[in-house]
Amino acid sequence: MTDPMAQIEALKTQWMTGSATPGTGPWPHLDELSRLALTGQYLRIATRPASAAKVTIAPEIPTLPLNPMPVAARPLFRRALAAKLVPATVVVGFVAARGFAVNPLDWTPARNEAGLPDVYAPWRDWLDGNTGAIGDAPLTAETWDDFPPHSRYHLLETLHANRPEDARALILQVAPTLAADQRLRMLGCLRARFGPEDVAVLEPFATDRSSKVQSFVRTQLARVGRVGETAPEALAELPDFIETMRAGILSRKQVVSARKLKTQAQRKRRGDILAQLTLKSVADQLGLSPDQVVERWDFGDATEDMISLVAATGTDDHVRAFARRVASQKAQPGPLLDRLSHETRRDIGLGLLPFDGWILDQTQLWITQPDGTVPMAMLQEGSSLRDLAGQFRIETGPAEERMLERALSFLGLLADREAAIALMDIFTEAGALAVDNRLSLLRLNTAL
Amino acid sequence: MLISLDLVEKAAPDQASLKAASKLMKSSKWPLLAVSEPLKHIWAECQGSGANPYRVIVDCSDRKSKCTCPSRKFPCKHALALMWLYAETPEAFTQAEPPDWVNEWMGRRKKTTAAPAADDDGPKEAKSIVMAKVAEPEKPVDAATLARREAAAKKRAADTQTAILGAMDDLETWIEDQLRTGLSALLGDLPGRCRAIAARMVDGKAGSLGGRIDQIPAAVMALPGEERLDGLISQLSKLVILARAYRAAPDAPDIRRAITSAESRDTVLEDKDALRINSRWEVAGERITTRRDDLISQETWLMNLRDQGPRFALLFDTFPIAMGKRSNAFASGEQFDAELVFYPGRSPLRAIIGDRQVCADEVPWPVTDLTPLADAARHETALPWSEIAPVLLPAGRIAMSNTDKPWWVAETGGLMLPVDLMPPVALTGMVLQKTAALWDGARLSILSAHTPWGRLALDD
Repeated sequence: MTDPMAQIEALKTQWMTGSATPGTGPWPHLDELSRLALTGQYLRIATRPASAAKVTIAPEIPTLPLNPMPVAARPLFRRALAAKLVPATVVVGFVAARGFAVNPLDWTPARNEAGLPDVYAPWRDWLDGNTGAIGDAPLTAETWDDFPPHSRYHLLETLHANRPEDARALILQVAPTLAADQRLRMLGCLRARFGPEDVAVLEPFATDRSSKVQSFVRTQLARVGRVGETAPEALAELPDFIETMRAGILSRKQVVSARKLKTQAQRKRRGDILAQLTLKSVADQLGLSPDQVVERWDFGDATEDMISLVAATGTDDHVRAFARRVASQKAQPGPLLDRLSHETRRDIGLGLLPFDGWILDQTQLWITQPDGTVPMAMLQEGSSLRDLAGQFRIETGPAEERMLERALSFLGLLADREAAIALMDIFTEAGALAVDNRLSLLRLNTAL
Repeated sequence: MLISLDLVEKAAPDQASLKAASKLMKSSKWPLLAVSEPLKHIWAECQGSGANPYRVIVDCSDRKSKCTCPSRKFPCKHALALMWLYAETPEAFTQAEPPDWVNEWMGRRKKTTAAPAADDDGPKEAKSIVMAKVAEPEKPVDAATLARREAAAKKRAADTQTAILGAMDDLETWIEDQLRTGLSALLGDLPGRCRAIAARMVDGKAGSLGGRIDQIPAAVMALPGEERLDGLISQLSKLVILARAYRAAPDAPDIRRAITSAESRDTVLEDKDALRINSRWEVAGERITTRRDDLISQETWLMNLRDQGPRFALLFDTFPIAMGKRSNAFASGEQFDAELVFYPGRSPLRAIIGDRQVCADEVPWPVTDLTPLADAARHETALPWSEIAPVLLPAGRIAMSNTDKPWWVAETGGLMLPVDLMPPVALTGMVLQKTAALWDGARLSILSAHTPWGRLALDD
């Protein structure tokens, strides 16, 4: 008996070209339309789409070492993301700081998504298709390749915190065998708790063939006062651009300031010169200590260059001191932010709160990952809250509306839970609806 | 009191709106009436003439309203009726926390505590609730007029049947022509040729069939190239079956529905023989589709969580595109107790909601069997012209083929079905413990699923 599928395939070919011959193929005694009807039904009921030759089933998404987000908070989280008032990773970071993991049905990161909390390393690995079983095996030079990439760097940071000698030994053994970007990442695991004992790990990489690795090593060594030699030619030109002088009519304090320049070419030269110097060499040339340069810098021209200089070559103490001055002057922190710990940035940002006005833009500059821990007492200082609440009583244009959304979102992520509840009361009394989208992050805060 | 009759009169755009609202002042039309006095909002669901209810919200502080009906009047008759109901019978409203769909609207509104603008009384037309309530007297009809009307109705029905039979003849002739000239030519000009024959169907009083033919190009061209011939043959074969079914049984309700138009909601409710199933239902998913015939179709798929009656039901409405964007009538995953009244047919699926009650508890999904396509095959056998069938699948995973196409794969092995759309990446890393989906013979369209991470809805 002829295979019916083969007959049907032949009939289909005839229909395709318009060359169907009556009386041939399956059901030859029927008219053409009846054969069409039966063919269609046969294909639907007796056959199914051919299974794919090969299918891959992904491993299950790993659970994270955090509590699952409470069910009641999930719609608030989704609404907060949908409002798009802050980047998703900032909200995710806030949720992680409260000890909760996002439900992957509500959000998963894109591959290579920047700004994701380290605790999400297993999800990064899952997205990349790297899900080697970790189990209880220790992270060593021998087991390094067994661990999924993102997870192993996260584990290395934890190892550096708990057993720094083991971490250093591991880095010295494995880093030289890695490609430049992985080498940089591995060395970067020292950053969070870098100290004098880690110098010996970094020094061998000071002349690494990768300029990014070299730059990283230089910056970290500067944290502990280990700076390299300065080009004498650059130092010789310094007085053309930076000077000390007396300022103030009454106090006549000594300040360090940039000379007034006339052309863009001169300004560029100044930047090039300072990029070749260190804070210590500048201080020596001016006859001052680095501490004195930091505390006497006159914020005006060349501030950006000076910020870069301190960020690249200052110790942690210098960087912290200069950052506080930058904040009080409302200048842009630039590369200083990368040199500061999360806690220091938080302290500096909170110090600005009473004077920052209701937009809180200066505070937001410094606290780029709010962690929901600021109590009401700190938020209540100054007139910012009162002014912010007052915005609900007036008509606002698009620009003010955008600033209001940003300020409320920031507060929503900054406040601790009790403060968030108190803020909701304040704003609803001021006229906002509790379900106002602008308060979505505050509401999420109260639910976590 | 959040709102008064006086304010309702002022809010009405015109007397005609008040008259229209007065016709909605029956409690049976409002399966849900709720209020939040602290927030000064009232909201409700109103059962209109369609299968899906309208969702209505009124902010009593400024009488702004939102309704999912297609009316361009603000406030529409539903919002007016809601305000009117609250003004007259506030005790009928349940004090409640606003659900998500109310919160979303409220959250988007940017309000100040400035006093609302005075209602505009419009162009001097007097508006009166009292006059709106006055029923128009029915004019008595004499026997001769009744007889004339009946005869005219019979003639219209006969003319319609003649027109439809003519349209079926033309359809079959058209299909024969396509076979004769080659389906490759048809595939090369599918939208244009389908548009032409669809228009002929509409002219021949076969409006539903015309709309269906208009959707064929999108359905076929969505398939990969190597599957399009089979897809086209499947579509054409169903048209032939439907045309011949009509000739054999022109009065069969499910055939008429597929060719001309569906019965009205009232007709279905008044049919004493219609299948009525009282059960717990869950909204498995919604699909809102823009069609080529300038209509938007709104499908709400309900799953029967108990064992009596059909496993699935479909609430189906269409709206002109000009009426604007549609909103979901329900939240996916919402459960309620309801009596569903099914449109008559061989394999009941399309239904309307009779009575409905909100419920506080949650009932789990039913047990699945290992032959999930058996129900789809039974539905296809009963209605061989049907295009899709709902299915409840057992545990499975979403797998990716080596050509990056998604497949649903049964955990026990054996059954593999291609999925129509690329799912969210997270879904590939989850066990789908149970899945509600639609199967069209070639592709699975996932509506919702239970996973270890919770319930997933793919129509969000």
